[in-house]
Amino acid sequence: MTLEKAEMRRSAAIWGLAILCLLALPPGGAAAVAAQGQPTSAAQDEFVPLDSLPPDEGLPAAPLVMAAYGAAWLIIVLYLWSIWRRLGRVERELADVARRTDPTLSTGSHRQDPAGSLTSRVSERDGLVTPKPRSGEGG
Amino acid sequence: MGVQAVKSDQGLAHRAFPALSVLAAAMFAYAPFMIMGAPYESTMGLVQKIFYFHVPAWFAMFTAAAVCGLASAMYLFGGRKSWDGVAASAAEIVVVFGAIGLITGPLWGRKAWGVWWQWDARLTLSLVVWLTFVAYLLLRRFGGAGSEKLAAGVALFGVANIPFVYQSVNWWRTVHPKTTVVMTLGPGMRGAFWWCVGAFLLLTVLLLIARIRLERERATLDDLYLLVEES
Repeated sequence: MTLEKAEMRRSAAIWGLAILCLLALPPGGAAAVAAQGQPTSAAQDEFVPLDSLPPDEGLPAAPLVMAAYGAAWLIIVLYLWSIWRRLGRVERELADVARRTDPTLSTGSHRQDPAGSLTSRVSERDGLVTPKPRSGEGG
Repeated sequence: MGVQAVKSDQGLAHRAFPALSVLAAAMFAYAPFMIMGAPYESTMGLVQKIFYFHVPAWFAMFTAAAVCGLASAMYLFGGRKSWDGVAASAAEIVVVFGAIGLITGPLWGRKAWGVWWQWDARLTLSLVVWLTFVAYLLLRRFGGAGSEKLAAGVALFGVANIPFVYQSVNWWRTVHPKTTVVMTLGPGMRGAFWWCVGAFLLLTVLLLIARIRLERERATLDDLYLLVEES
């Protein structure tokens, strides 16, 4: 009999605690618990227009600033690389043409400027540079 | 000023190129520290920091456009081929810095105005000028023989639009900040801004020197091939 009474008292205490917990939840809390992980009914039934977002829901600025600086740097670096690559290609081609037309250019002091004499001749012909005296041409 | 003068200037520029490159690299390396140290703008906050690369990129673009326009005029009225090379080099730099301005602007506007793009006078005119120089490059690339003169005309048309782009915010109602913001910058912002302007203008000069050299070497190569064919 005493045992039964103690059992009943314990189960009443548990039920009381459970009811207290339910009452302590915020309004609608029970419904929220039931609908956990599902969209709220407001989003399903109707879209309510709002003139401006609350400040805490605004677009963060940091990714935009980083994207702007990243894009600027990327464009500058890519363009520098493109000029460097094109210059290298043209200089290789110049050296190649000069070597093919004048094999002596690949030896001796002309190695520093493989396109040397031909480019000089072209530039002098176009009046772009002051003609330099070539070896053997004197003063 | 003749082509000879330009050539001797280029000789000087090539000699100064390494020192100027180091200076530009140092300025760009220090720029982030100056930008981070500059105060936040009261209404836009952090996103306004885009200003320190956005506006200098447009300054650089305007400078290159002025060079392109001047060189195109010299080529059209003087007929020297080397001016055409200078104009083509500058046009490419216009497109590069214009692209930076057109990418960084919408990123700023998305936060400041809530939209990526607005078809107002400043933004639309800027896009039109940029597209004009893109058209210039496409014309030179695919226009075939004789397209250089037509391209030079397009460049003059493009550069004629620059004053309208600059003044558009003062003449018409737009969402874009007015030109007066630059002259009224506070002490903390002013230093960082003009530092970045200096870095971008120096980079413009360096890119022009390198790009003109490429154009000259291409011209020399073409002449070499002609010489080989002749001989």
